[in-house]
Amino acid sequence: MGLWGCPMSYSMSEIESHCRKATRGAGFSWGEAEDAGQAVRRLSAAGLAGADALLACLTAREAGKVKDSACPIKLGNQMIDGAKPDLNACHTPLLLLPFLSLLADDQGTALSLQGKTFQGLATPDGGLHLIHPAPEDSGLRILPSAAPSAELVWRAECSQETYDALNLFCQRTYAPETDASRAKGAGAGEDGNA
Amino acid sequence: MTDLVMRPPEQVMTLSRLGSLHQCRLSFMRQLLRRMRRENWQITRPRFDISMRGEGVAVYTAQGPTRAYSLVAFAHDLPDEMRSDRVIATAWDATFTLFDGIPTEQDIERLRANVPLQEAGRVSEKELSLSRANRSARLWDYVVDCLAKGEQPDTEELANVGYLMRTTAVYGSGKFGASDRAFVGARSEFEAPFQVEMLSVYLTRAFVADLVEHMAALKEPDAAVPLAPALRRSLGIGNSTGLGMAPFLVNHPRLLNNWIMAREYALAKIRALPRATLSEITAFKTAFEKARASVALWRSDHPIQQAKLAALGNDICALEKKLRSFNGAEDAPWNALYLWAEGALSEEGQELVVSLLMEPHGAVLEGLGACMQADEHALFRIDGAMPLSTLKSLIKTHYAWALATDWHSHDASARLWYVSESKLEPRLGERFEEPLEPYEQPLAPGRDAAFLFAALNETDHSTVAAFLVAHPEHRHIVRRVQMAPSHPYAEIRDNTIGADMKPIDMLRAKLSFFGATHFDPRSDRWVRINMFRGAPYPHELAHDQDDTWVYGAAR
Repeated sequence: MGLWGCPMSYSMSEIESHCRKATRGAGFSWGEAEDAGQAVRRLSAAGLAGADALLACLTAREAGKVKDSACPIKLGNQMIDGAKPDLNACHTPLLLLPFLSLLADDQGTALSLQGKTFQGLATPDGGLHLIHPAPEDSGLRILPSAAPSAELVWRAECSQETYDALNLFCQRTYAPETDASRAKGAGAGEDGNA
Repeated sequence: MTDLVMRPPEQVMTLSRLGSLHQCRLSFMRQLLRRMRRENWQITRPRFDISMRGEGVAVYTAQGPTRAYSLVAFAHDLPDEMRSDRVIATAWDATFTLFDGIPTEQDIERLRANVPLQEAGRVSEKELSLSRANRSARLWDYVVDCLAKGEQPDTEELANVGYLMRTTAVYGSGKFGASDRAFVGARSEFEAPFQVEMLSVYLTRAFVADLVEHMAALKEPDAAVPLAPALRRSLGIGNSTGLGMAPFLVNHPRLLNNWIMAREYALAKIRALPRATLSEITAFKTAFEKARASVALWRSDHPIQQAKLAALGNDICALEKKLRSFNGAEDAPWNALYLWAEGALSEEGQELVVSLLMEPHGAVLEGLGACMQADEHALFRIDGAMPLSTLKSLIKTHYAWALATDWHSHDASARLWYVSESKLEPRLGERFEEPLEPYEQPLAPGRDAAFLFAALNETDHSTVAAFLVAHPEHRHIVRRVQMAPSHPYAEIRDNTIGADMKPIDMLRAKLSFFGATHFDPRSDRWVRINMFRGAPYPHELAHDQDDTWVYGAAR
């Protein structure tokens, strides 16, 4: 297990919480991070590379290449809240796709997300289908559509490299150890060997 | 029938009351054993290969109506100096996993390479839990020696500790690669919460009792005797729970709501009963007598718990007097008894009465156990269309206590929760003494709701959606506030970062729902408990129809 390049199998709760922490570590609010973790979970459940999409988004954002107005996490949250954001431009549109599931559920119909290149489908039962990938895209629209029902899986596949790279973002949410925190924090007092 | 009056969240959800909860009929251990008995589960031990040095593997298989689950137990020869309950430990006396089905030889070999490593290993979707246990240094060798000599250990010595091994972590749903709870959640045997973990601990207890007898028999094959059944029965599994578990209740608001709601609903239904039958009164008094004997076994060296136990002792005397004249003659007699308790007893005593009131009323509680689960794998959806005026009034209604707190005072905000780099475990820091604030976890909903309220007073936006575009930092607390009307018991209505907050109150609330007894805080942030003390062992399950095993046999 864990050979370089080989996908590892993660539980849904593991991948969700790892991605939530990474998103927080990348500077998003806790609430946004919750929804981002959930988005990756939905993608993973549909057999899509959710963790890779998140990593691509966070990395590009870190490099200053993603404005809030083109950030799939920001746009996704606004979309499900009903804020009707402008979808003129979106980085990693795959990450926006799982947010459509909730709208598809609201409207009781499958929805397609399409831009100049990207095309994906979301069904009311949580199904997500990637038809044409794109690292970023413009002029995205949401249209009612037809789609096969969901075939969901219960394990998330993710390469060790991706998981580790996300972990670097997670690390930023952890406090560095200090002598004071070591002494006070855990408060175990004794080692319990009685 | 009288209207159901449930105790309001302001009364129930304080830390001091949550820290006074006792196990009850709805506890997850009791739900598990009732089901296994009802469905006639068969528990076997297909493998038990443990050497003289105490090393090897054992498998316990619990066969239910449609599926089997197997505890795979690895026993280790652990040097005394390596034995530690802290999460930093890297080796244990025994390590376990609950396997989904019956493991093959290959499964066992795969598990042998991973389970003993615990957090540093990896399990798969075929495993449902990962746990470990350490011997009680005080009791283990003593009991092995006694049994090897053909003698029984001293009852008092056993009672003072109450277990031969204690688990130091039981990881469930999805941890370290294990199967997600939601994946097995549709199985009827897992309809109540934490059934995987409880089953794992129940089988662990059987393993530990077998192991101590096995070690004695290997030592002196001709002289050794097994533990006397009553002594064996009196031993539970210890558990040592630290700060890491405290945030659970804050991180799982819907689950917490459903636990408390079930308990409060049961209490309200019982209080609304117009009459008490003679057999109910007898059952109540019997349960009280047993509980009294169980409380008598409760030891703690910690001043906080000692004071609570002293109060509980007084409560028990008062209740005993009260019950002498209690014949159920008045209208709604259980309500009268409850109201008396509310006026006359400490919170420990009041909550004991609540638990005892459920004992004679199994029929009233029917179906409530399954309502305690919560489907939490989908996030609670924010209602973006909600007007901010509505959001404000929700805060005023459900977070009144938080609005009345001065969060800028040092005492109110003295602490913060963070995760340390080295242990990846939640910790509690001193906000004004350590540079930890950038790492603060969102575990102070009261403060956050008050800050949200202040921000709402400043904004020109009119809907939640528009407000959150401008203020994403409030997104997590908006979600919680919107949850409140449908989940009134979701939130601890108390300060979780105050100078005088005691994490053990949160630990006790959670552990009481598991069915734990004999809470013994070792500091204000970790606690030892006992699980399955008094429970029938697998081979006794079918014959033993008594559901009040949790109180132990009166001595």
